[in-house]
Amino acid sequence: MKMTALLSVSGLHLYYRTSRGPVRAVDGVSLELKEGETLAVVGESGSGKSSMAYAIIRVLPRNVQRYCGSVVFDDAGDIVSMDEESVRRKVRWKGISMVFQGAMNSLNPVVKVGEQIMEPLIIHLGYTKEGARGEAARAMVDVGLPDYVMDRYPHELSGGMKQRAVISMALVMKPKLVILDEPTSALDVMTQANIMNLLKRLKRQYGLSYIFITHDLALASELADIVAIMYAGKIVELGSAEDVYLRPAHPYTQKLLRSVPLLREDREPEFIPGAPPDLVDPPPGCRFHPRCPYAKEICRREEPELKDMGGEHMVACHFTGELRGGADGLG
Amino acid sequence: MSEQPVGIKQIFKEVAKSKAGALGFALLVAMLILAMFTPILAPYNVARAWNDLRYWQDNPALAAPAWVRFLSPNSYSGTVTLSNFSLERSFHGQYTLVRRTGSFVYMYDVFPTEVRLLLDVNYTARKPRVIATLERPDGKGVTLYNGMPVKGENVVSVSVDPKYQKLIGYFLYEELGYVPAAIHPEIVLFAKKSKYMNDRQRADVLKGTYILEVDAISFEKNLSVQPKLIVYGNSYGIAGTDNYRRDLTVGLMWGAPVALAFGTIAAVVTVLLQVVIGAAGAWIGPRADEIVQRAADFFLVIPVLPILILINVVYTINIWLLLSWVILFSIVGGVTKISRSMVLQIREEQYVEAALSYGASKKRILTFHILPRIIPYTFALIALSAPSYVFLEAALSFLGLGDPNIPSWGRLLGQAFDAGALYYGWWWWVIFPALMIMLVSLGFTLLSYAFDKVVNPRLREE
Ligand SMILES: Nc1ncnc2c1ncn2[C@@H]1O[C@H](COP(=O)(O)OP(=O)(O)OP(=O)(O)O)[C@@H](O)[C@H]1O
Ligand SMILES: [Mg+2]
Repeated sequence: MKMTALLSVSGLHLYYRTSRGPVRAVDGVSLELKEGETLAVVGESGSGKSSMAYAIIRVLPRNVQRYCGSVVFDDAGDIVSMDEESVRRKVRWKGISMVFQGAMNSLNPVVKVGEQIMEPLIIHLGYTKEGARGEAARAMVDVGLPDYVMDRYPHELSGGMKQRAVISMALVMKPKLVILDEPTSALDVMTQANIMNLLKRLKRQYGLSYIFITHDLALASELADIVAIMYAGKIVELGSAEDVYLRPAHPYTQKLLRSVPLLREDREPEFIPGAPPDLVDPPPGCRFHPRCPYAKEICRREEPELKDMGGEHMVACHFTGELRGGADGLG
Repeated sequence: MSEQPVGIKQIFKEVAKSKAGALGFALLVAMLILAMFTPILAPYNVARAWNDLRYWQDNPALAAPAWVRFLSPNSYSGTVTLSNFSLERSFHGQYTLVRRTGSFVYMYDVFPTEVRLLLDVNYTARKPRVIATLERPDGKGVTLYNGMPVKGENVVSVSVDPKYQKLIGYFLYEELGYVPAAIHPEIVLFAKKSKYMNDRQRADVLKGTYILEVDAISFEKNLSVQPKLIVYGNSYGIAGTDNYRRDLTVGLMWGAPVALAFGTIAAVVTVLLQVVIGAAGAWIGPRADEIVQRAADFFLVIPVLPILILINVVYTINIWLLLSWVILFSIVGGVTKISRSMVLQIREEQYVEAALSYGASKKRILTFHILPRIIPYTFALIALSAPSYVFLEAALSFLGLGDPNIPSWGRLLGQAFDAGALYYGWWWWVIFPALMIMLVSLGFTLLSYAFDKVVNPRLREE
C-alpha cells in the first residue's frame, strides 16, 4: 500500500525579476517525499537547488516575478496559496525547518548563540527566556555541542560548531522535514564526516525527513533514499538512490557520475564540457542539448517530459530507453 | 587580525584600551566629576544669583585670576577686606559716641582698583552723624565719609561717587595746594606724598598699616554701626571676574553640567531616535522608507539656528525647553540615512532570511537582529554628534538666547564679547570658557574616533 506523501510538490515555478529579464531558477518542478525519507537534490552551481528550497518553505527574495505551482505539506495544505500568517503558524519550523547554505552566515554575529537557538521557541511557543533556555540546551546536547556554547558569540566557535548550532536551531521545534542546503560545504573533510554522521543519527532518532541539497553526488549517496538531479531549473532525473546511482538514465546524470573521482577504480574523472545555461535565456528544447553528446534534432526542438521508466524512476530525455547502460554508475 | 568585538561591555573595554579612547574618557570623566562637584562647591542658589549683582559686590571687577600674582607679583594685587572693628561706646551728656576702629596692612606693589566702604547702621528714630577717617602709615588722616546715613546698609563708593571724591579732593588740596580735575581716590589714599600722588603710573605705593576709624554720634543710646572696608585688587579667584564682579569660576563650573547634560542628552536622544526611525523605515518597506528619507532631507536643509532664534523671540526659553526644540528638529536627519544604509545591507544577511524562515515577525527581526547590529555604531555616532550640540548651546547662549537663569560657557563668551574683553585685554574672560568648550568637544571627538575604530574593522590598525 502506498503511504501518503509528507511533501508533494507539483509544477513549482520561481522566477526572479532582473534587468536582463526573468531568471527561471525553478521551472516546473514536481516531486514527492514520504515521511522519514531523505531526498537528495543534486546539481551544479546555479541549477536552482537553493531556489527550489526557498520556494518550498516560501522565503522569497524581494525580486520574485513568478511563484506558482503547489507545495502540499502534510495536513497543512498548499503552502504556495496559503496566506502568510498560516505559513508562519503551521509550516515554519513546526513543520519544515531549514539549514541555509553557508551556515556560517546564518548566525547573527552580535547575538549569543544560545539566544539565537531559543528564538524559534520564544516566537512560536511563547516560551519565557528561562523556559526556552532549557529546551535549547537539550537541542544543543542533541547535536553534540558543549553547554558553554550557549553564552558564546558566533565568532568564538569553530566552523563545525557553528554548523552544529545551526542544525540544533533547525531541530529545536522538532519539525518533520528539515531542508539542508549544502550543510557541509566549506568544512574540512573530517568535520564534514562528523556532520554527516550527526545527520544520520538525528534522522534515526527522530524519524526526520530531509531534503539534502548538494552538488556532491558521493556525499548525497550517504543519506539519500531518493535522488533528484537538477539541471537549469528543472529536474532531469528522479528516482530511488539505487536506480539513479546504479542505472542512471539521463546523459547528464551519467556524466555527473563519471565526473566523481573514485578511489577503487583506476579511471580519470571526466569533465562535462561547456557551461550550465543562462537561466534568463535557456536553450530551446532540452536544456542540456548543447552539452549532450547524444543530442539529436528533436532535442533542439522539443522539451522532453519527465517520464516514468518503471518503479518510479523518472527521466526527462527523449532517448531514455536507448541510453540506459551507457553509464557505469558508482557501483 | 582580531575579530570585531561584540557585546557592549567588550566594545567599551576595547575603546578604553585605545589611546584616543582613554584620553577621551579621561577628559569627559574629569568634566563629569567637575559637573558633579559643582552643586557642592557652588550651590545652585549661587548660580541663580548670577543675575543678582549685589551678590558679587565684595569681588573686584574685571580681576585677573589670582594665580597670576605668582607669575608677576609686581603688577597684581589681591583684595583686602576689613571687617573686624573694635567697639568703643562713650556718653557725652545727651550724646552717645560710637567709635569703631580697625586696621589692615597694605603691602602690594600696585594700587587698588577701587575702594568701597559699607556702613550698616541701626537706630530707633533719629539719624546719627557718621564720620569715617582713614589714617595712613605716614600719619596723615583722610576723611572718607561725613554724613547722616539711613538705616540699613549704606554703600559708600569712595572711588566712584563724586560726592566722596570731593572729600579726597580736600585732602589733595591740603597736600598739594590744588585740586586736579579728575580725582582717583584709590590711588591718592595709598600713594606716598608727592605731586604725582593722583597718577597711577608715577605715584609710589605707601606700604604699611592703615587704620580706619568710624565715629557715629547720636542722641540715641542704642545706636550701632558696622563698617566694612573693601580695598579691591586686580586679581581674584581661579578664573578671575567679569565687569559685574561675578566670579568666573562659578560660571565656568556651572557651564560643565550645562554643556555635558545638554550635549549628551541631545546627542543620545536624537541619535537613538534617528537610528531607530531610519532603520524602521528601511525595514518596513519602500513607502515608509521613502517618507522617512524625504523627511530627513527636509530636516537636513532647514536652518535650525535661525528657527531657534525665532522661537526664542516668541517664547522665553529655559534650557530644557531649548533641548526639547533641538530634539524636535533632529527627529530625523543625517543619522537616519546612515542607519538606513546599514539596514539595507543587514537585511540581505543570511540570518535575516533564516529568521523570516523560522517565522519571526518583521518587528521581532528589527529588534532582535537588526538593531543590535547597529547599536555599536550608535555609540560612535553619539560621541560624534555630542560636540555639535555643545556648540549649538554655546552659540545660542553667545547670542543671548540660552537659558537666562544659569551661566553657561557660551553665555560667558557672549558677555565677554559684548564688553569688548579681547580689546581691553581681559583674556581670562575669553580663554577659560573657550578652553572648556574645546576640552569637552575634544573628549567627545576622541571618544567617537576610538569607537569608530573599534566598531568599524576597516579602520583598525594591524
Ligand atoms: N534573488 C535573485 N535574483 C536574481 N537571480 C537570482 C536570485 N537568486 C538566485 N538567482 C539566480 O538563480 C539561479 C539559481 O540560483 P540558486 O541559488 O538557486 O542556485 P543553486 O543551485 O543553489 O547554486 P549553488 O550551488 O551555487 O548554491 C542562479 O543563476 C542565480 O544567479
Ligand atoms: Mg544554493
